[in-house]
Amino acid sequence: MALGFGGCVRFDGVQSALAPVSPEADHVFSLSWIMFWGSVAILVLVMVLGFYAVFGRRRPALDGNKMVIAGGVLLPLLALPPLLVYALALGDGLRAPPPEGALRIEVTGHQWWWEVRYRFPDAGDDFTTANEIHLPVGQAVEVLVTSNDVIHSFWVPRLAGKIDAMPGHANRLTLKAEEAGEFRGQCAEFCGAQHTHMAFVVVAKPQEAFEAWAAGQRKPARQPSSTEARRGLAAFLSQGCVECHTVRGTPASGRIGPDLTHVGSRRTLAAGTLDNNSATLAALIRDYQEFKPGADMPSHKDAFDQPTAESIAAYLEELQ
Amino acid sequence: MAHAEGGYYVPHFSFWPIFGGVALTSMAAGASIYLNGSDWGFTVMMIGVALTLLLMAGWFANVIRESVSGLYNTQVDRSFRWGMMWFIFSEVMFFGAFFGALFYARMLSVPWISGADPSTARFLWDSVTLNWPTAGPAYAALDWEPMGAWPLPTINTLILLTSGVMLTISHHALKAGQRGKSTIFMWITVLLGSLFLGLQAYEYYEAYQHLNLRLDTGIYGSTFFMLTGFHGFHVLIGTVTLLVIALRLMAGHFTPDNHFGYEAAAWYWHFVDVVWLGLYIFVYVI
Amino acid sequence: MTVATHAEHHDGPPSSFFKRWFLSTNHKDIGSLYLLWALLMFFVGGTMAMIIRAELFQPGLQVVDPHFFNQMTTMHALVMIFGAVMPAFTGLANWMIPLQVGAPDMALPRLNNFSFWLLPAGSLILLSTMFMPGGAPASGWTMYPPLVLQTGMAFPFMVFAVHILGISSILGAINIIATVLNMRAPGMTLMKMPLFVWTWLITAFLLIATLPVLSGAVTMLLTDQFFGTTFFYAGGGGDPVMYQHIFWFFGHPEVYILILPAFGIVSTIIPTFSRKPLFGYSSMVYATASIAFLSFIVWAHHMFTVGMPLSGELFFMYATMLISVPTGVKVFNWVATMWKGSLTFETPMLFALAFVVLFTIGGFSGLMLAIAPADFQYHDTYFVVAHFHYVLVTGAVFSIMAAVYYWLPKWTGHMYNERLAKLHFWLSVISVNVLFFPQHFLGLAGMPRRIPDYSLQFAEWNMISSIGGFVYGASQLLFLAGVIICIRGGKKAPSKAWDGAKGLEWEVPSPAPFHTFDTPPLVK
Repeated sequence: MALGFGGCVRFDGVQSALAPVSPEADHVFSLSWIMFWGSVAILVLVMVLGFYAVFGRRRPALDGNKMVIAGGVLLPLLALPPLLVYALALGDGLRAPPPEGALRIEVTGHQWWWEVRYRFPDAGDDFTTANEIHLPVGQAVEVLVTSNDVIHSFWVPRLAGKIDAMPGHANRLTLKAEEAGEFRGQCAEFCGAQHTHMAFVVVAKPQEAFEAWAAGQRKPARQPSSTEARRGLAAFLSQGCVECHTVRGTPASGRIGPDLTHVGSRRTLAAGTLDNNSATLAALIRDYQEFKPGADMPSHKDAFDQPTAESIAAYLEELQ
Repeated sequence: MAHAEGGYYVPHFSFWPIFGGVALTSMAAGASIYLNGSDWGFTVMMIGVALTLLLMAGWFANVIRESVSGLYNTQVDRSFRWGMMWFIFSEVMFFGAFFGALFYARMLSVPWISGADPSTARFLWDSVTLNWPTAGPAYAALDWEPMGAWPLPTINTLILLTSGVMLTISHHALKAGQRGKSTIFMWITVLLGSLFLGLQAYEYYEAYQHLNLRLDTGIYGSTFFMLTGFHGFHVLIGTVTLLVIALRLMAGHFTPDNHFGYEAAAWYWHFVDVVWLGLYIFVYVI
Repeated sequence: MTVATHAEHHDGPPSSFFKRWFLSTNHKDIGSLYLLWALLMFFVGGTMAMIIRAELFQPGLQVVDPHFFNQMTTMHALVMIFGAVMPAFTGLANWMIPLQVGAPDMALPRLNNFSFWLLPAGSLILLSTMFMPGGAPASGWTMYPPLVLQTGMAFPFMVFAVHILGISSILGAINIIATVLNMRAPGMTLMKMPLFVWTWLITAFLLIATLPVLSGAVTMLLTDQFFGTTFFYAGGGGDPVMYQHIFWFFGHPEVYILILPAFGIVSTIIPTFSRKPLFGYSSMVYATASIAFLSFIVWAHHMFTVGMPLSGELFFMYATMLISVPTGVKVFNWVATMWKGSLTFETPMLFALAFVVLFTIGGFSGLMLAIAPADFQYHDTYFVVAHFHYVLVTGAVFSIMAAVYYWLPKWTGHMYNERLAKLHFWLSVISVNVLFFPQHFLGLAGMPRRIPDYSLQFAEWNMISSIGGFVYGASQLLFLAGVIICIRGGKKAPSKAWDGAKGLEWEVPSPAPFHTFDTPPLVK
């Protein structure tokens, strides 16, 4: 049985399509309100007509045919083409290819986390992280989305509409954040038991800050500094963690789970679900299944004791 | 014993419908249990199959008895016609799903993988180039050959088309009151149908033995065997139906102007014919 | 099995309970069986909905674990669609179409009972998966691969249940077409048929055209799972998106299968209680036919986010928008029917009026979803959930409630308890809006569907929605009570239970005798 922990991370308003921070999301936001109020107006009109039909005194004789033709045929035929044209212009923009030389991010959905690979003109600069995407503010970024297993959907409501992560296909999305901030993204295509716990964080920051972050992420993992962390590294390397996880700069090079080279720098754990701190980290290492039943990461309750889990957590926390 | 003499015949009650519910449940549950890895499910499924065969035999025997004893007026006959027509239409739509899958694979998914969608091709499939017939990028190392249109499928096409002509000759003979001639041509049709099935079985044998073409040979194997397999199954049903009709013809069940059972079987046969033409063109030739 | 003996000739129902209810060929008894099964499944599916709303009452996981929650969302949809709403409409068709066209029974009475018995067979196979290791299917009712291929033991059972329920509906639809085309009383031309018959005729066509396609799709799932085919695996040259195309080619017409008979019911009830003939009868028929036609060319609007070429999006967006024209014609025809009528507000009329208003809301949210760029935001959120529940609950289910209250006097010979029924109506109509309207906001704000746990910003509206859900669920017990009370007794109903009612069904006594229209009536 899973613990209830949905409330552990507060994301008030950070996941709302009604608080757009990109031109695309903003257009859709205005379109939504236009359609919403348009619908309300037409609904009210029809209901007033209906109400009048029922209760009105001295109702004039009505040419029903004219009403049906006007309301049922002409109204939609007049109201809808502008909507269609507007939507077309908008859709064209939303799916437009990114400008030449834009930063490219490859996002791969897994049950239930996001692998994020940054691509640079020089392949030596590429690096991989997970469940967290950093963007330079004001720049269009190309996001290529695919999946490793089932269909997922990549969605950051404040930045853009969603695009499905399809196994065997790569879909493209252009993201552009107009202001700095942290925005929550979430998987929007039902993907199994832990679909509800497959979120991620998008951090938009100024260009220099972004570049500093990228430079940090590019580096191999730092050496453990404390005794406990050293013990943690030894346990990490000997307890099978390396089968699934990569920590660049160590022998760990598994590809099944998230890259942990800089896990300590991330804001959340377990795909945007829990705050990142050493206690949570230790608890997850010890018994991941308790938190996310069904995930690939096994429970290690029987494999090692709490102190070992804590030392591994201490090591991972140092991986800033 | 019609409900209202001279009126529309409404049978009073029937055991077969609920029997059919049990039969299909047993077949479905048995097959599911078997697929989940328990061998006893196979027994349950075969009991279901046996019950379903019994159901069809019993139900049709029931209808034949009622028909022969003259309970059905022309309005009942029309109900059967509408029923059969729409049943065949539903079968057409079933095949439509599989033809749809074939067209989709050939026109959309395979081209997308091999370059029509640049990001997919570059990012995921290392820019492979695939041309139909293909099993797909993950099966590139597999050594297999597609099924050519010549000789077996073409011969089969001729057999099936000829059988349609034979059936029509038989039908005209029946309408002209020449029962003997009608019966002979009906038997020829049944024979041609069986020949088709035999050759189809031989084609599958060839595919598995010599071409290394199997049901799990990627998208080509999937569409090839599912389409021809379901078609073959329908030919089997059609052949058995025509066989029954041939026997009923000999038993004198049909008159020159009242023989809907015959016509329904003939419609079904022509439907199977037409589906084959689609298969021949889109699966084998093009 | 055998031809009946003369002894039973022209009598009432057979005296043996088993014979009457298990071996029936009588359209009224089979209709009742359908309706009772639908009612049972309505409560089974409703219980699942209550579990869903209980879990969503607060953020975090309190009541059930996520896997069970996913089973609930999946089974709730499958049970409600295939077990409750479709059989309820088929039951109404069984009862009313022969009465409305003046036929002695359905065209193929034995086949009719076969259609019925396949329904419990398929439903029970489906429900039995809940007690298997690994539980029921938890892939969503759309059964998208590759996720659905992760279903455990339930997988083949689910596939075969869909096959059996499909066969049931196809055979039922064939029967309805044959009845409508072949069994009409002399003088009843096609353009004189009651609209309920018309809408069902078109629905039956949709059923026959699309359910085999669904069968094909789930068959491909089965072979992909067990026999190594690669229809939905890109490495084998297939594509998971292909499943979605095939599924929604069925799925969109299916939506209209669930709503066209509702149009027919509302078009029957509004004229009765307005005491005026239906305005624009022929335009209603043509509008229904156009909606059915359009339903075949809009399927991909369920898939705007799969990464479709812009030209595809344009086509499906445009075709979808066109649906608003025939739908608009219908709504304005209903308004025109009421214009200057002398209206009374018995419960069937209340449900029909609520249908017109609330279905229109569902139509507008549907239009918003049809705009591809906007759908990139709304897709797979609670906005979609709100949309299709407005269409299916306040649309299809409300119309079924309206129809049940409207025809109960004909079926049972008793008037239902009007005060209880009105209480049921008002509680339902208020709570259903409390239940579903906030879900529009949740979706627009960014809450994905099919999640048992959500971030805190969504807490308030979810709580309100759940409260509405519990009240709505509880008030359906009033419906059950009303129906039971009406079956057991009540004020005698005259043969014409509503003074404004028109149609052949009101010319036979209430309750309708076991056999009606042995001799076809003459329609002038």
